[in-house]
Amino acid sequence: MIKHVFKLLWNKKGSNALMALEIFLSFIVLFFVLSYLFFNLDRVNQTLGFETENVWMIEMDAIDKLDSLEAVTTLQNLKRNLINLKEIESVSFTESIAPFKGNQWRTGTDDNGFNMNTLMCPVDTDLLATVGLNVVQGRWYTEEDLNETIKPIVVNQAFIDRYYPDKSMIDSIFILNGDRRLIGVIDEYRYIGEFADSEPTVMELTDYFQNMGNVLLKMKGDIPTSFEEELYNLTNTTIKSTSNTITTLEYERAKDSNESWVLIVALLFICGFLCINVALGLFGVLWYNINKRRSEIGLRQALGAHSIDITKQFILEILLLTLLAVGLGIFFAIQIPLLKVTEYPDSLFYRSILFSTLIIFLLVITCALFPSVQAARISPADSLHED
Amino acid sequence: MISNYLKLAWRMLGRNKFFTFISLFGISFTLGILMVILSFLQSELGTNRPLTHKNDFVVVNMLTLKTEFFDTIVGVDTSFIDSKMVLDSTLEIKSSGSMQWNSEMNNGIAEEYLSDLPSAEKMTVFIEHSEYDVYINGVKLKLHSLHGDVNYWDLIDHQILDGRVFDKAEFDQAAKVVVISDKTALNYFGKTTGVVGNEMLLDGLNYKVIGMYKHFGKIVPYVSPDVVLPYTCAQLDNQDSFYHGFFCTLFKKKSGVSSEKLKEEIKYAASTIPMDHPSKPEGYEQLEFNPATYDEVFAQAIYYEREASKSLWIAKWILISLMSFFIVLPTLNLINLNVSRILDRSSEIGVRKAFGAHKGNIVAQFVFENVLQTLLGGLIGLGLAVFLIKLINKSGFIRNAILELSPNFFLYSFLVTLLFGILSGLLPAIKMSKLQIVNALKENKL
Repeated sequence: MIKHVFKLLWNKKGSNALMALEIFLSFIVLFFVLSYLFFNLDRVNQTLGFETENVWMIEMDAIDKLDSLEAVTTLQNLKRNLINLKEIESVSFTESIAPFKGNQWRTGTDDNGFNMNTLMCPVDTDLLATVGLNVVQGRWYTEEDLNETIKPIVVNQAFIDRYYPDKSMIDSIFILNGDRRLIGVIDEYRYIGEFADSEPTVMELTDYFQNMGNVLLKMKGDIPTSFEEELYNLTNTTIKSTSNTITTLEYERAKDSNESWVLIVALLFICGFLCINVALGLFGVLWYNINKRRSEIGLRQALGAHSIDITKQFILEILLLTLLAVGLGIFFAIQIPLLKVTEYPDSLFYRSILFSTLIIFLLVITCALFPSVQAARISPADSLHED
Repeated sequence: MISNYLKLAWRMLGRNKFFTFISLFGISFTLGILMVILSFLQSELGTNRPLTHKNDFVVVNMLTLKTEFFDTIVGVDTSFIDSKMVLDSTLEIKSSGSMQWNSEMNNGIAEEYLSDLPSAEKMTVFIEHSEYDVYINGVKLKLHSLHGDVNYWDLIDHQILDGRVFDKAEFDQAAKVVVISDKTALNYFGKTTGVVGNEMLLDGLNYKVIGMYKHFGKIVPYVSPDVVLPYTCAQLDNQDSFYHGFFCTLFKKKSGVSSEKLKEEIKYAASTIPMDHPSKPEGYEQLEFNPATYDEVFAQAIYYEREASKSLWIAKWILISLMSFFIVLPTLNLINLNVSRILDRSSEIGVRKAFGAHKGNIVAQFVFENVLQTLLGGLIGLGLAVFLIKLINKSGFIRNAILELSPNFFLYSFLVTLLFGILSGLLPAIKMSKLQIVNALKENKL
């Protein structure tokens, strides 16, 4: 049977090759689009590690113009004033490294006997309560930690997983810009954005100092945006500068991921259209070709073939063609994980290959089913009469 | 003859409605989406206002302080000469890494060392990315500001709707004047007429509105600020650094010289800047500029390479391969459809051939029919594209971008449609024209 089907395909190799090429290209397009999609969805689905709801942020430009002593008193004043407001639950100061701001600080060392590269994030003791970090092991910072001789340190789970996966590291000392004692592990703090990779991150406790230009505020419930003006004026009078901006983390989050979403939606839209287009095209061609072969069908039926056999033959033909095309596609696609062309996890590409294959076969079978069933209904009397 | 072709093509469209629908659906959707992409590229990177002089621009948006580290590798080979062992050592000096500090530059350095390059006609320095929060009846309005100098208005060809731009005297005196976009006028004053002369409160200071320009929503940098002020009134901290600052420099080259030449001059100018200023951060030895044309700046956003021309090259190929992938599939689809459809008309071809039609005639006829069908699809696609563009503009789906429909857009769309029609019609037509008369006529259905 298979041999017979092969022969039938070979007899019309010209137009079949074109069709196989179309299926092959669709597979490749699907493979790339799905890889891109899975890659991004994997990241979005990971926890950010912090809450954005009801968290506001003040950015102050002028802080680094003050001398250090003045800056500290100003910041402490500001903190006192802010915490006194009945709308505000908790206040945390950070440096220019704040959620969704696009600033990053990385550091690396090989003093521990291996290469250690991490994101650094200067924090204060109130960050935990302000953005709702999740401590999974050990504890978060307290005020006393500022006076320790060996500086305590909190890292994220990704740091532990990459560098010290085997044993509990709580209270251990390692070197990172000097000796550091690990006191706690949080699950995550992906402050760069929703589409950023989960990386080893070190949260470093910092005292008030000049550059603490970002303030994160946890609001009590859903405060209307009209409160912003009051907050703006209060900040202005406290730090005696007007170049401050106020924003919410929800807004910054949306702004930050907008670009990635635009691309994903546009790609999915185009890909979806291509699928519909290819499906309709296939349907048309199959329907046409099957109608061209009425006499063949009639003859087979006259010789005793059941209508189910006729349907089976046509479906088999198109499945074989698809198998050839998709097989070729898989051959090319699988080179990416096999040859380690990229640094991304292999499972990503295998998943895309699997889903692309499924989608293509689903499409092809759907398109082939109707014309094939139609073909089986042709009565030999009609079709043989024509020739 | 054309009228015959037209008549035939029209009849064919009506003959099998289902197939016509499939073809038209594919064609119109493909072309519609292509047109939206065209419109996007056209409105972002075309030389329409305010980017009239775009092709003459060279941008320096970064000043790099750097130090390169070198390793000296000593290789020793032993060889035997006259049965005596001889040592042969080679020294190789290899770069083992570098330390870089990239940041925007101080305006002083640009004005002193870059202001009269032989290939540059004009230069402007500006701060691009500061923001003002203003409150109108308790509602916040975020204004993106650009602090520029007088030349900014010559280089970026803003369409001034009302009033005027600031002049040299106002710039030098740091006058509190502001030029705003019509979008800002609408948001801030609630109207776009008669705003000139009003006061605007920015960061607690009163600025006088002296002019209004048209807002073109663009993602590309430097052209869509909400307000433009003289940079002399910006509160600048960090001005004690001789090297780094907040400024970006934009050049317009003289006509007739290549932008590569201007880039070379800028790179050379970097080497004339003294490296002994007390504000130089410790440990940095070299200073570099990384000039790029305007298109290259855009390309660097897609794929960053330090060498800007390489970025442009890579970004171009990424775009071209994506687009061709996108065109190839529907084309193949249409070819497949046409190949089977055309079979229907073998007897017609047979008769025409028997009466002396050449291969060329038949190819011409089928390609003509296909082009006609594509044009019809293109027309539907155009409607779809216009609808999509309106939708995108209205929903703000692409942040800050407004897609335009310019005459060029229609021209390009027409060309793309034509190309698509010819490509998808040619192969089936050639295939059919090779048909033998006997075979064609044997199927005696007319």
